[in-house]
Amino acid sequence: MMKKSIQYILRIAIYSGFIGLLANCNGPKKLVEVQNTNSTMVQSSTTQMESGGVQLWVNNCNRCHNSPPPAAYSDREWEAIANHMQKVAGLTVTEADKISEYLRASN
Amino acid sequence: MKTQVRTSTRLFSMLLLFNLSWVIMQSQDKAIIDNLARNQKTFALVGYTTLNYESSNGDGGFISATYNPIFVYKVNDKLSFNAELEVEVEDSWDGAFALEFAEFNYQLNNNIAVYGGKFLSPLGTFQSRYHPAWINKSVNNPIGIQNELNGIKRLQGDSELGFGLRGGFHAGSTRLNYDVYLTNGPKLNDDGSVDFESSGGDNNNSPAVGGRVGFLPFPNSTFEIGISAYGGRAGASEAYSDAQVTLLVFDLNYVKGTEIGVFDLKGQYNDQKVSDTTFPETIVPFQEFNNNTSASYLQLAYRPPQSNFEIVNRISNLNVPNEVFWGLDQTRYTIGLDYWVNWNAAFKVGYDIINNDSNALGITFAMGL
Repeated sequence: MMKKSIQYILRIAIYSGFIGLLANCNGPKKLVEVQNTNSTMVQSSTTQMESGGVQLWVNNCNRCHNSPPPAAYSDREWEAIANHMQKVAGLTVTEADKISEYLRASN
Repeated sequence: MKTQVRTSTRLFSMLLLFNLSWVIMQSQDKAIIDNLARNQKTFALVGYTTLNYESSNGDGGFISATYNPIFVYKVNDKLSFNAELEVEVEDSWDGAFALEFAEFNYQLNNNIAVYGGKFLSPLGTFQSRYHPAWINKSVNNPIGIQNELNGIKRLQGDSELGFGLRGGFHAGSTRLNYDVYLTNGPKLNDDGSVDFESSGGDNNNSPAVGGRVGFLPFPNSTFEIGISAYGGRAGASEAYSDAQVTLLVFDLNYVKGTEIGVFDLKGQYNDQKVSDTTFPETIVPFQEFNNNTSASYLQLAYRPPQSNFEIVNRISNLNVPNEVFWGLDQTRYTIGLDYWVNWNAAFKVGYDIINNDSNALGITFAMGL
């Protein structure tokens, strides 16, 4: 009986330790998620959006100037720049959002 | 046995304490990070910079350096603010510091945004899209459209003060974009020329209306044609003049990537009409004439595959009435070669052949930021 109790307590302790380690591992991920707005959502659905986002990026940026590489600006800067270029190029909000999401996902 | 139980209990308590403190730290960190993220602005500092050299009639030198920072704020999904400054120094060390544009935008829905402030002239596309030096493939700007050298007047302003609506939408596999705005309007001078800038305010309490519609017939957006119109009273109230200025502008853009390289064709035609036919400061004062002026340019650029070089050819043209002092008919042919050192930076060399002026060599280094 006593032996079982000890095993039970040790098991809880070990599980508890695992939970602690998992929590530890989750820390930096959350930091990235918060810093890069919606990056997790963007990364998880990159494949779905790339066709629209890439195509719109190539077609529309090149109309006026060389297309900038995704690494040229940070995620937050891309969000602001895409919003500005939407007005300059006469894009819809949906189109600008797709371009912005592609650039941030590829960054 | 008791010792084992005590040890296990201690171990359990320690791990529990560790986990509890970790969870608390985690939530505190998250709260701090959330707060930081909330307080971070969605902002970008972009813009462009240039260094310009010009040689004509055996005289040559660096003529100017410019820095144009552009501040881009996205306040939220609806509201944004963008502004551009221009800081310029010339070879005489004279300088210029100006607000190129400063505009707020409020996005009403997917297709319509209302905007206001000082905004780049939406007539045609050169001023609103292609004039930044790292985007403009040539060493200079088309005469009559965005060039005021040698007293030649432009047939549109650099920017306007007012507000408008703009946006884009799909029509089947084609796309349309539009811009319609209200501004202080033009000012008619005694020599028959027109100033489009709003400096000095509205001279007759009568705003002007302008707008542009762009049509992209192909789904890949390679081709766009646009038509713009502008009209307003230009005569001053004190002169009791009802003189009207009307502008009709056509533009086109075709960018096509092929196996043998990228071809880039751009053009614009501005046609300006002033309803008054007599002015006190013309070659023969008060002589009647049609005060119609036009300016145009057509530019073809070609960049071979995998090459940093790009060849640029442009012809620009200005036609002014014979009766005025403020400009001469002029045709300028510019041939140029650009070398792209990066996607946003190029050395541009151009040679101008001008029908009634000295030919000129221009060299510009331009970089987008």
